[in-house]
Amino acid sequence: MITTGSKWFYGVAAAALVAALVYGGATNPSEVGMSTLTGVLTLGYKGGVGDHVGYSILVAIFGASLFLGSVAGVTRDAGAEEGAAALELETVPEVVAPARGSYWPVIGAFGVASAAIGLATDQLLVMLGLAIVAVATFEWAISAWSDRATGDAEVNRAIRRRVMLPLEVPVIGALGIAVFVLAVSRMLLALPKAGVYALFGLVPLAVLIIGFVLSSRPKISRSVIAALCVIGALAVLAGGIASVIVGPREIEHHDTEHEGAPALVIEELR
Amino acid sequence: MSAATLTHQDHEDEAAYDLVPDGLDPVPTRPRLLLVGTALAGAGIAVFFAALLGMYLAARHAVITGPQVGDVAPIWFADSSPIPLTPANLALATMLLSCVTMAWAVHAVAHNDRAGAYFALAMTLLFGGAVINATVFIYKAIELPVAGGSTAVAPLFYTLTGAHLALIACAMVFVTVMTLRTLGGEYAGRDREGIVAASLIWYLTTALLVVIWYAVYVTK
Repeated sequence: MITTGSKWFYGVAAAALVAALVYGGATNPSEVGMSTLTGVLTLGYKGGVGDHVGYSILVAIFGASLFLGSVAGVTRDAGAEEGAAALELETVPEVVAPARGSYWPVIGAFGVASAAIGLATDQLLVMLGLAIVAVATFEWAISAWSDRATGDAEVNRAIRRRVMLPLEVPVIGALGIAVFVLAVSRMLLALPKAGVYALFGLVPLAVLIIGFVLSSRPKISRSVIAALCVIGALAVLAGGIASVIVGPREIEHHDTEHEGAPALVIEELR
Repeated sequence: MSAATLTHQDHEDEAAYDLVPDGLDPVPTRPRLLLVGTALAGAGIAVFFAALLGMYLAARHAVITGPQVGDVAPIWFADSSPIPLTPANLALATMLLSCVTMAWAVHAVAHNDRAGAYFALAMTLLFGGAVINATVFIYKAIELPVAGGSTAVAPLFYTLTGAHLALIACAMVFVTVMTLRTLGGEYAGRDREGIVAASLIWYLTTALLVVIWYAVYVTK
């Protein structure tokens, strides 16, 4: 038996087919004849069609509607009773909303945009974009699985942490160290000599003082620690980016051709 | 150690190694959501490609039926080397082969043949990569500059074939995700909706390549 949804899609398919035949023939500038009919019936193989764009779209709507009608028929309109019967349950299960929002689709979209921009500018950006898409896809898939692992949202969260934290912590930690080292090295190259001494002296001192203050308090909120970490990371990142823009300072080059110079000095002393 | 000699602590230690605790069944998901959603998305993709192809054919028709330059009939691919048909044929044949492996994967999941399913899905991904490779080979062989041509062939050609490359890449990501979910044991036996949905997009990608192969590579 043809379902209601199938009937609707088959109706759309029939209307689109008739519209395609009429439109393809009516917009054909040549004289109306047998070739006009054979043209629209054979997709332009035996005879021509008029406006290619409109004709193609109408034929595609015919094909797509026919396909959707078949899918609706096979799935019995994805009805509740048929769904329950397929799962051998009394009633069809409700659609479960995700427990928490996921940022991975957004991050994946950034990756796609980065790859697309890179195609026109820099190959490195393409690689970065593809890497971001791969990571986002993997993380998103794991989240989608863990969100439905059990009916308990808290247990699901614990399952996700158990699977992903052994992977995420070392990878993110290594990336963080790499970014930190790169950013600080750019700053050391860009700052004047006195600034380098100050950076080496004052930043560890600041870290030490903040660490001392935090450890001396009996209780401290996690959000305060997170905020301090974010501020520190942003400061390092901003300093690194600014240093790259400014460029390295003028560094005095030493003559490396006279590596035997100390021996000469000894001779002079004698 | 027999079950009789297991202590309470042993049971707790064993439970600590279980990823999903016993007694907490997964929430049953509403069936056919993914399949129907994929079918609707596939229909949209088909109409999008029909519009692109219509624009390409309209521009091509306008050029080849246009006025002659001297005694020479206008040529659509005037700014490039001729399109080699062999890599295009190979791409089509590879894509058709991948449909067989995709169908094999669906069949293997339906019959709980996990090893067969993984192998078939890996083969499908490999064939998808080979089609991308063949298309890039065509790009390099025809040496068609993107801008500055005498006709609109370059932007239309690259948009149409590039969109199809992007679709192959998306279909490969879809198949990869479904492979991971099959690895995780989410799909087996009667519940193979994800694999069927991925196969739907894969067959659509192949059908679109058949149309592009004829309209772009064969008719030139």
